[in-house]
Amino acid sequence: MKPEIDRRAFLKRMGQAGGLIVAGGTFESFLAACGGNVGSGATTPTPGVTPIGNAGLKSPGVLQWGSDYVSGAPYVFKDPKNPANLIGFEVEIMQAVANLMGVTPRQVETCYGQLDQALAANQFDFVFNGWEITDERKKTQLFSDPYYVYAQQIVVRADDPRFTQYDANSTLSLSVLYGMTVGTGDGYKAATILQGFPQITTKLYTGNLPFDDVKQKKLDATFLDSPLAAYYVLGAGPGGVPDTALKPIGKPIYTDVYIGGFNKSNPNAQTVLNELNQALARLKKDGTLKKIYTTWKMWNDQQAAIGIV
Amino acid sequence: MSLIQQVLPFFLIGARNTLIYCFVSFPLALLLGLLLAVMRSSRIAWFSSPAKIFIEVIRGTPIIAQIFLIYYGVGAVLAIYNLSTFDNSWTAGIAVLALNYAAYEAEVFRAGFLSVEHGQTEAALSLGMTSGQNFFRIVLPQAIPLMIPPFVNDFIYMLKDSAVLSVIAATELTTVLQFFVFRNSSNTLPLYALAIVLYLLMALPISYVARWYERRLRAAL
Repeated sequence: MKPEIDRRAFLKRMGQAGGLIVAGGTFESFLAACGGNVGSGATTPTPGVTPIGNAGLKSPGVLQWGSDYVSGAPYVFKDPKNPANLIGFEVEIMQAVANLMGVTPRQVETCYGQLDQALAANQFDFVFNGWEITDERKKTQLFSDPYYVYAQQIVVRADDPRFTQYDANSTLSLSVLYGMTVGTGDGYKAATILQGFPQITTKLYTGNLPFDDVKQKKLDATFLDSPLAAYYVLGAGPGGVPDTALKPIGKPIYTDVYIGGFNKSNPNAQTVLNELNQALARLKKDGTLKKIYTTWKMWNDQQAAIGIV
Repeated sequence: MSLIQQVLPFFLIGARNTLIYCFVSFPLALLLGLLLAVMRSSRIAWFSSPAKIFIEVIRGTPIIAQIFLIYYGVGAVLAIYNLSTFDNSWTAGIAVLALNYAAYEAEVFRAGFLSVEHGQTEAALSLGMTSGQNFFRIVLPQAIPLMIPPFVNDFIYMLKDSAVLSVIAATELTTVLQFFVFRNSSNTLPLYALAIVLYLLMALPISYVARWYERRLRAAL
């Protein structure tokens, strides 16, 4: 009888150990999901290419970047065909950077309005979400080299008789919107620009893009980053659907650049910043960034100004 | 301190707008809630079923989904008739708060009515009162003091829930807070503290007045 009992006990213990291993693996994924983090799988450096350092990361081996995938297209958003996946041009850039560093990229979901505070609390290595340099951010943040040149775009209803004479190639300024109500996202560069125009009534939206408000005539126009207008209005990029009820008018204005934002008081920030800059420099030169921007229909000649070839 | 002085006027406008949203929405929610409670208590299924469905749907769905439905869904229908400007952040915000809280207030009313012993109704009817007289003279006066604490609770919840209206560009206190947090990202604590103090200043007097009124009503009974 005894050997029988021992065998049972042995099988039971093996089952428990196996269960623990499986549960441990599942639990890790569960924790990652609860934290709003989305990993993209471990990466290995491309053979023959000198890897870039990965010292200073908050969690060794994991490149954690803060961004908001809600209303985040084309930067970072849930794939409409498979919402388990994150897609977007910034997701692809982060994947390419992580490849060069030989680490796993992980998006840390954070409401756009809270990115500054989350960065200050070191909840990720840096912000990478259409981030811009502002005087206020200069006080607490360090900035990477630019990775995209963008501008601001006016979008109106396609059938609005007040804008019939204008198209995307017209040369316009914000004076065309004087006396009107214009919406944009709170925290967007456009909000700061519109603040300087008391002739325009500005409505600020949190966590929501105001395209439907323009279509429903609750707003006369919206004014926001050109990649947003290109994706949501022109349907540029994977999964994009053109919205014929809207049209961009005027060439993009107020040109600026996107950068990665780092917490100045984080002692490792400068190290990771240097590594990100090295990676971006390589992606600019080897054609990876151009390829990503071409896929997302964001490529234009202005990108040469920041060294992208 | 200079930051507080600089932003205070804007925060006060935000607090005023929060109060407007709540002081307009809550009475509407009470009226609709009373109607729903009466409907739900009815023995006629044509009255009770719609009330039950409304209450369950509203309580079982997030308020942000209701906001988008009223603001964009109803707005899209109104846009066909060129009336969508009437569905703005004020009207949609007040409608959503009123409809949402009506479902909760209906249950408060129902619980209040049920808490008055049935024997009182029997006594009133045996004295020759009509059912209307019984409701307004016997049941309601006894039920109201019991309902005041949950009403006050819900009003304070509404003060805070109104913050969700920032998604449709409503300029209430939290929207103003977010606006300045973006522009002062290196020094946000005084802004959060100011918003908390203003919410407290709005909520505390309401609690005290409600307690005083409840004591008066109980004393009168």
